[in-house]
Amino acid sequence: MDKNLERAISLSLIKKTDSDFKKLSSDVEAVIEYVNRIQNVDLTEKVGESDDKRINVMREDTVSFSGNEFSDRMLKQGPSVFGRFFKVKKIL
Amino acid sequence: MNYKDATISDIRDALDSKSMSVSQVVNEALQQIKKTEELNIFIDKYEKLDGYIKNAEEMIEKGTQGKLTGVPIAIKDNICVEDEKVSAASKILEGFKSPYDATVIQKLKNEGAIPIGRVNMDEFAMGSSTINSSYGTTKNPFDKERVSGGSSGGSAASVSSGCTPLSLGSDTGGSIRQPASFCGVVGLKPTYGSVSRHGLIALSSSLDVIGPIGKSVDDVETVFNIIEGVDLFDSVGGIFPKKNIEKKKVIGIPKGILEWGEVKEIVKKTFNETVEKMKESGYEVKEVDIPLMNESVSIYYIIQPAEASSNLARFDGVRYGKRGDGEDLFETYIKTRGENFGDEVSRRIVLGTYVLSAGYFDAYYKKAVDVRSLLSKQFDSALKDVDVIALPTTPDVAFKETDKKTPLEMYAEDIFTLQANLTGMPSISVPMNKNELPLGIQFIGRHNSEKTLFDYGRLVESLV
Repeated sequence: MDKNLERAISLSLIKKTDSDFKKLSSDVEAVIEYVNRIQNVDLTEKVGESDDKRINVMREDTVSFSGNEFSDRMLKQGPSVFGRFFKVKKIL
Repeated sequence: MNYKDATISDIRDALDSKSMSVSQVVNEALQQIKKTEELNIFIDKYEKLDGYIKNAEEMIEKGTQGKLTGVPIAIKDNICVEDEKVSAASKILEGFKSPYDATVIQKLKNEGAIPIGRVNMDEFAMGSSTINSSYGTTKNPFDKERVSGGSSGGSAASVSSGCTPLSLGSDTGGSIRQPASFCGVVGLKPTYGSVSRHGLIALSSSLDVIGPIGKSVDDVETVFNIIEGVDLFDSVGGIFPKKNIEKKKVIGIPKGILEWGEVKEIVKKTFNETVEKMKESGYEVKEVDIPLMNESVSIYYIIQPAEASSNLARFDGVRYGKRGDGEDLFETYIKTRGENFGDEVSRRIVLGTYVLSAGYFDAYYKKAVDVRSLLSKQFDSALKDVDVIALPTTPDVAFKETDKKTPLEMYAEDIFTLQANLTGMPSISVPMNKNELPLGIQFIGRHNSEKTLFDYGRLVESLV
């Protein structure tokens, strides 16, 4: 299998059994093979940088809510909570 | 009033004349939902339904009702309603309750509309059939062996089967229009940025839009006028400027599209007959040239998975949803995601990660974004001399659940709907046949030309 695809699966953080892994990679390989046709599109008609308005749309990073307005409600959704913190397993 | 076939104005008349109360209308809806249970449309009804009914009854009592006060509306399971469950039909969000209302829900609640319950969809809106839902497939109200389409299959089937006169869906590559076509109802994909996505579980942020499904163009227009508008929480609000353009009564049809291999005879025949009737009503038809039309699937299946892989990174079992049982944090992540994401979602995350990875970014993602810009330019120039571009919504009628399709065959279901998302243009699907398996005709217009699309939609309604 393509080493880069193997790397992409590992970066996706999705644990699969061996047989699911095989199916997943062969499905994705087929799609990559198909979308590769985009390489044949001639872009000489297009000049300069992309003028797509939808890439990296930013806004001012302002505070829209008062402090703690949603905190309790958010914490209620946590799978494991300790006081005002989400509890997680050890990192190392 | 026959609730099953009722439009907004039928319900409005019944409520305003006091011949029916809001609870009676909602009861009719709940009975119909019960009767159609085997179609697997609804995931559940909302827990706070009684509160929504009370609010609408008070508005009518005080005479402050709006157009939708007391009208039941089904909500796709990726739109947040405060204190109600929402899961994007994924196991990973099982049990999650939204802490806030989506902007569109807030607007509907202000109007006194009744969000009645959440309806089925493909997991995270990835699919064209609802087969990818963790709740099973929603069956087509016209033929139980067939799918309702997707990803907003529950939304389309709810309206088609008379459970609700209206529903909300979301459309990233055809997810409102394709199921609307399969289920014989009207679906609108509004202009990108015209309806706030605050509170929509994101799939692909440069393509996603929320829109209405209804029994008639009038009803869809009413809901659109209520939910549209810019808000602070969606940065792309109003990104495409509004322009006034005079109607020409000219329809454009892209050259050669009916000759594509995927397009079935019945679709060609019904589409050509409908176009013929429009000509007889005084409309001119022009062939337009959009050379990149046929490249839409490859552009879409690079950009969409890329953005999805990034948007779905937040589902890691730390702050909400289900958590896998791992020895350490890393194993918790990979177990949470591995055990709870379905096959299609996993495929698209991997594909997206691949096309964004170092060494491939320019060849895939950047190239796709550039080709998308060029496709948009081709649409802009094709729309110079015509009001709308007309296409069949789908290349075939609804397929059977047992028709096993490969991922690529499934992606080809959307060959006529992807373009409106890639260009950000609005598009409406309206039924173009009666008394057989439904098929929709689709009109794509310039940015913010929804009004023109409604006029064309009403024209088709009058001809079918």
